[in-house]
Amino acid sequence: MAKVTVKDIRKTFGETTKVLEGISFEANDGEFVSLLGPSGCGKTTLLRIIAGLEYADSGEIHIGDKEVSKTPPKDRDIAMVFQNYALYPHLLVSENIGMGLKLRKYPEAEIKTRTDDAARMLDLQPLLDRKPAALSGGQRQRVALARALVRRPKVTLLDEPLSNLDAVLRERTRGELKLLFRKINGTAIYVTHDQVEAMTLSDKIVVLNKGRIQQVGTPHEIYHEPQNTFVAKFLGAPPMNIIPAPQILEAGFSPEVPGEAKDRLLGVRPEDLNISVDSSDGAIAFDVTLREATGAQTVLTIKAGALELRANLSGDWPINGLKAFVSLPADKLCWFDASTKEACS
Amino acid sequence: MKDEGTQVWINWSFAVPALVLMGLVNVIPIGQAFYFADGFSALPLDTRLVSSLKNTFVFTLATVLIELVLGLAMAMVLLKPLPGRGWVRAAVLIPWALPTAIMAMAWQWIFNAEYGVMGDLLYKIGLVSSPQIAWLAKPGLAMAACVLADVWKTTPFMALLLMSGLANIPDELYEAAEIDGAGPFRQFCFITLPLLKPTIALAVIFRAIQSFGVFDLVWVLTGGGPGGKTQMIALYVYDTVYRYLDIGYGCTLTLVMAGCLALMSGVVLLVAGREEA
Amino acid sequence: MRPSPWARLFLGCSVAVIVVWSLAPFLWQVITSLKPPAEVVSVPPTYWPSSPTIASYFKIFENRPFGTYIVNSFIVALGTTVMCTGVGTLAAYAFARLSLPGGKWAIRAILLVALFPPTILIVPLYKLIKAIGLLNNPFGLILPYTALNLPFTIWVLMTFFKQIPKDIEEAAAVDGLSRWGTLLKIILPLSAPAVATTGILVFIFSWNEFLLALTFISRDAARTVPVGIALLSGVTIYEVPWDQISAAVVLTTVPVVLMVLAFQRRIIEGLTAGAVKG
Repeated sequence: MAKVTVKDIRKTFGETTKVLEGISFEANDGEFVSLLGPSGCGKTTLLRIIAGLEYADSGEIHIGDKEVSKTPPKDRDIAMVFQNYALYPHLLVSENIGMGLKLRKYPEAEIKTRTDDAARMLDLQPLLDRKPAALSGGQRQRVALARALVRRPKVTLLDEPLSNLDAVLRERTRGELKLLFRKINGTAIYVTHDQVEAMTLSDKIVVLNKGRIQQVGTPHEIYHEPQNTFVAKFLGAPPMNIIPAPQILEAGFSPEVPGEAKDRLLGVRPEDLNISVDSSDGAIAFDVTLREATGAQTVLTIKAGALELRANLSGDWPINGLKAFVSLPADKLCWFDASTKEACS
Repeated sequence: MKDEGTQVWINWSFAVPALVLMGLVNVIPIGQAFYFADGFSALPLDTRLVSSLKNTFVFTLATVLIELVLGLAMAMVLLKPLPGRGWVRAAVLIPWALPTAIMAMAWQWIFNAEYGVMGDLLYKIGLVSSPQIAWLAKPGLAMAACVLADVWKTTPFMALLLMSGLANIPDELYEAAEIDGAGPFRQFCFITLPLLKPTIALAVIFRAIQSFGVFDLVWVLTGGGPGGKTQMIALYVYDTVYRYLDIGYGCTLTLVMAGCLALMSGVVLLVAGREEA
Repeated sequence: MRPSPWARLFLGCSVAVIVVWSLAPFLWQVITSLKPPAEVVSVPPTYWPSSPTIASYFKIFENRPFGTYIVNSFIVALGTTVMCTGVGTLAAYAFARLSLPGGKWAIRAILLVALFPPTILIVPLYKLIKAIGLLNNPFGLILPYTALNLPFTIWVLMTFFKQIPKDIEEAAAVDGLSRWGTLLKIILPLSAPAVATTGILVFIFSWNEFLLALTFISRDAARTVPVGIALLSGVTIYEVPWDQISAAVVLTTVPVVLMVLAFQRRIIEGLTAGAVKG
């Protein structure tokens, strides 16, 4: 296991398409790091550069104490789990798992024990003599994981490994993945566009957009202290309300605005709004224009004059509750600069 | 990591043996044809060239049209779910897979003037008054025999091409048309034909080019006879070079042939392209 | 929806007509070859041999170097198949997967070249083969046959290689395989069916080819089967009886018929994938 350092990676496709514009971050030994961002943000390219499947135009990759920017993938001591698993269809499951060891000339006996270990860890023992075509999606996914783990690589790279599973299986596998990596305590870099995966699995999240890092931090930091409006809106469903401060004041709220109101945006998470059917001190009255109940929670779209907010409350909201009284949580407000969209504190 | 330039060379080297072979066999000879060609001034006066071009065009037009119609019918039948479809398809493939020259021998026997089974069959049905028909000795009949043999041989290929095109037309379109009240004939006209047009264009170009270069079938079946009435351009080239040993003029004729082919594919592409737009 | 009985009857009849039409000329040769010599020339022709005999099959081997023709044909067809699939696989892999600046243009050029019938190449090609001294030599046929089949082979295999997910090759790279290793251990085993398909088609083409075989081979002992049989006719038509010619036709076509029966599905796949080959 080892630390991975990514230093100022730049990559351009063709003449002009800048995919990565100076990416730097670290994954410490044993850390599970997610690269999170919308599709086209460059996260997969970044992972492939770390793997050595593509080469950056400039910048450095360190794995352990070795600089590997120009090293081919097989000499980087990495393992990778591909989005479509990339199992060799003509080889048995056991051969798929053992391929990397065999090519590195491990003795037969060790290949066998390691393959068996990995298979046990992932519940694959009964399937070792089958071919990938005879496996279900979830089983293939586990074979792909086993193939990565059997090598005991310095770092495991995972490219949206859950995206081809159906919802139920995805949730279960997500939990298993977390337990597994906690058990082997391995360094992992995990690409995903799914915020829930990133939030639940990671020790650290790197949020990317348009080839630039938006924020690096723990899931808690990313969610509660977004550094700009992109991060604020990308995480959370429904996303954070972001409203120009003057509109807030106009509606009758009186939060403490840091600096000039016209230069500020207020961010507040839908679940943080204090909302009630009953009028109370300082609460502003809103019309409920849409009520979306999912059972465990209810999302309300509410309007007061030009100001529209979304609120997320656990539990129900009365069907005939056409008025909502809202006050802002003073300790949970995020402020952004209106022109730079960066957080200001 | 090797630097990019070297890598590109290594990559190309995978393709080099193939490229060299094709260059040697397909490209250099065309260049050589230009080099060796002579006797251009004789072209306009060459009545044999004119008649063999005429024969080749007639043959090409007839075979491609008949094959298109029969091939389409065959494709539509073969696409239907049938018991033993694999065997039916294998049977259909056989004419395509058998050696043309050898099957030309078989046709020669079928069209034999005295003992041929074709004359006898037609006589038994009552279409002709005598079973002895000199198929290969009468100009019109000889050409018909060549066309028939080629149609037999190549319709399966046409059918295969069209089948793959037909299979790509979504079933929902037919179902929608049926709901709109179109019967089988109108479904064919309004859905099958328009959607199949690109495939048909491809198949027609391809078959026309092949047909225009016909050699072995005619050479074995009629030898270009009777009296040159089934003499095709390829047979003329062959005769010029191997019987009259005039390689220069042979090359010139080759170029004429290549020009005709380029012209034909151009016209078909143009027509197909205009219809698309 | 179940088709009406009339539609089913119509379909059945169409299928019967198609099958009979496709097989009749070949079956007529089989029937002729089983007739005793006297019956072959009976008027009107008999539709079933009165006393079937396979004597003609032995006679062709006595009267003509028919065995040699067959051996020659096998050498040429097998040689072409091996060479074409080998060279073609390499090139197809390069075009499908490796970064080749200008590769797209090369493929277009190759397909354009493939469009033209070999007839127009024959004269200059003859000079070329003569110049390198390969007339009357199996290689004088294997080389041009390989080249003529390469565009089709490359096209079909390239299409197939492109369908293999790139992930698998990247997984192989992470596992530690080189480019060659990936081609040999991953791509080839995966594409064995496609390679076999093109191999079958190339074999059939080479077995059947006539024009080049006629012009490049003049020595009787070096001839391939189609030419050997075609030359039975013409001047000698009255010397070689039709029962023997028919026997020769049947014998020569049997390998092809067997291949079609065995690989019908493959052949159709290959032809429609290529869609660029007569």
